[in-house]
Amino acid sequence: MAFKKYFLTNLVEANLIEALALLLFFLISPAMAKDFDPQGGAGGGYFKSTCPAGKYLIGTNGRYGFIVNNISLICGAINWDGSIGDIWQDTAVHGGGGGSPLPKTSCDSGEIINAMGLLTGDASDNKVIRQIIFNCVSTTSTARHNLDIGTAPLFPTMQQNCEAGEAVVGIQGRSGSYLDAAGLLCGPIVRSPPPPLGLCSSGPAHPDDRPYQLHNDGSIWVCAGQRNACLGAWNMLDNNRTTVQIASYCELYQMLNNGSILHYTGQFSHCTSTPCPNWSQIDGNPQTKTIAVSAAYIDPTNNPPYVYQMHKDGSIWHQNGGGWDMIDNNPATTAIVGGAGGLYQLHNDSKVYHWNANCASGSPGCPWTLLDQSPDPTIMITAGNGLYQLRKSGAILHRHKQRVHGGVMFEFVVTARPGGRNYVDDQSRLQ
Amino acid sequence: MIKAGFSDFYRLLRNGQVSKWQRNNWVTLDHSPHNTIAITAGTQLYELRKGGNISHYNGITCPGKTGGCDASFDQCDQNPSTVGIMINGNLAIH
Repeated sequence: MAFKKYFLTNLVEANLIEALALLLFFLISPAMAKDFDPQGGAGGGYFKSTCPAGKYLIGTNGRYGFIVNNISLICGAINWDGSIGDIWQDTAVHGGGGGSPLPKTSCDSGEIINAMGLLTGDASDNKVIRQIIFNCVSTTSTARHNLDIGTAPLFPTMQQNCEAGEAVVGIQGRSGSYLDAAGLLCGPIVRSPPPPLGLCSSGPAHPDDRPYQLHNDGSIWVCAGQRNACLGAWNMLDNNRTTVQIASYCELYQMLNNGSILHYTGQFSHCTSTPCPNWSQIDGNPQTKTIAVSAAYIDPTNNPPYVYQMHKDGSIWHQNGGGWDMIDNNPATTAIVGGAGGLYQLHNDSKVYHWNANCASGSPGCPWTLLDQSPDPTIMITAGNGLYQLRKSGAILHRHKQRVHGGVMFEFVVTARPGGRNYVDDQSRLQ
Repeated sequence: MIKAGFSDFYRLLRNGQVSKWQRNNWVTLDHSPHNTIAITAGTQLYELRKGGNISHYNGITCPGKTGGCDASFDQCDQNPSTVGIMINGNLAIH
C-alpha cells in the first residue's frame, strides 16, 4: 500500500516534465527499452545482471538486516496463458554476507516486476540501499502486490517505473559489502507463443484449451488473445452456414449438416477468404450424428488421431489412418464424450462406458468397460481430466480413484446434489 | 449443466448461479443477475450470458469475499450472434 501511495503522490508533479521529455525522446530516437541509472550510494563496484532472453524479473534471492546485504536475480518466462515458467536463478550475488535470508523472494503466481521503490540507509557512514519494494503485476489482470526486500518504517524516496508494455529484465547497480545502489533495466513484454495443437498423435496430448465460439450463422471463432484479453481479439476460422457442431481436445474439428467432418490444420489466423482455408475433410457420411475428440491413448499400436463419430444408429467410429474403424455398435448409445482419460459413452439406460483401446481382445471389459449404472437416470457426462455425471435427481457424481487392499479401485461418488448433503452413493458400481 | 475443466469442476444452475467444487463445497463464482446461460472451462472458466456476452473468470475476490461481483469477470466478447462457447469438448447448434 505504501508503495502505491508513494507512486500516486509523485506522478502528479512528474507528469508534465516527463511528458515533455518523453516527447523529445521519441522525436529524436527510435523506440527502445528504458534503463535506469543506479540510485543510492556511490560506494562499491559497478555490476549489471540481466535475465536470460525472454525472461523477466519475478523476485530476488538475498539477505538483509537493517540494510540490504545482497541480492541475486530470479527470472521467469511468461507462458502464452500468462503463467510464469522456466524459472532461472542467477548465481551472481551482488553485495556482501551477513544478515538474514529474505522471508519472501518472489512475486505471487502469474506476476512479474515492472517497477520498484528505493529507500537508502547508512552503513559504516556510507549511503546504501535499505529497502527495495518491487511492484509485482499480474500478467492477466490488473492485480498487483508489493514484494519487500528489506524492511523500513518509511516510504521509498526514489522510484523507477518501466514504461507501459515493458517489465524488468535486469538490474544494474553498485555493490561491495552491501548493496549500494540499484537501477532497473526494462524490456518489452513478450509472451511465449501459444503451443501448437497437440496433434492427437502421441500421448499424452495436451488439451487445446482455447476458447471457441459458434455463431448463429455457423461461423467458428477462436480467442486469439490471452485468457482475459479476448475482447476484440477473436479470429474467425470458418464461415460456413452448414456448420452444426465443433469439437476439440488436442485438435479442432467441425461437423456440417450433411455429416461431413473437417479437421482444422491452420494457425488460428483470421479467415479473410471464401471458403476459409486450412480445413481438411476427413469424412462425409450423412449418418454421422455427433463427433468427439479425446486425449491420445498412450499406445503406438492404437492409431491416431483420436477423433470419433457417432452415427444415428448408435454406432461409434474411430478414425484410423485414412479410414474409420467401428468400435461399437449399440443402438442404446445416446452420447459420446472425450477427455483426458479417452472416450466415454452414455447409454439410454444410464450405463456409462469407457473405451479401453489398449486391452487384449476377449478380456473382461474389452474394449468397453462399464463404469456405472444407476436407476437414477444419468442425463449428462463431462470429461476434463476427471469424469463426472449429472443425474436426473440433480446428484453429481465424480469418478474417484482410491487404493483398496493393495490395489486400485474406481467408483463414482456423489460430489453434491442440490439441497442435499454430500454422501457416498449406494447405487454406484465398482469397476 | 456441469463442466469438467483442468483440473476444476463447475456447475451452472437454472437460476444462473455458477459454482466451483472446492474442498468438498460449492463456492459461488457468479449469481443469477448476470443471466448466465452456458459455461465452459479448460484451465480457465468462461461464461456465456444472454445477449452474447462472454466473460472470463479472473479469480479476483469480491469485497467481503462474496461471489459474483463484476470485478471477478473480464468481458471477452459481446455479440448477439454467439450461440455457444467451448473449450475441450463439443458444441452443437440446436
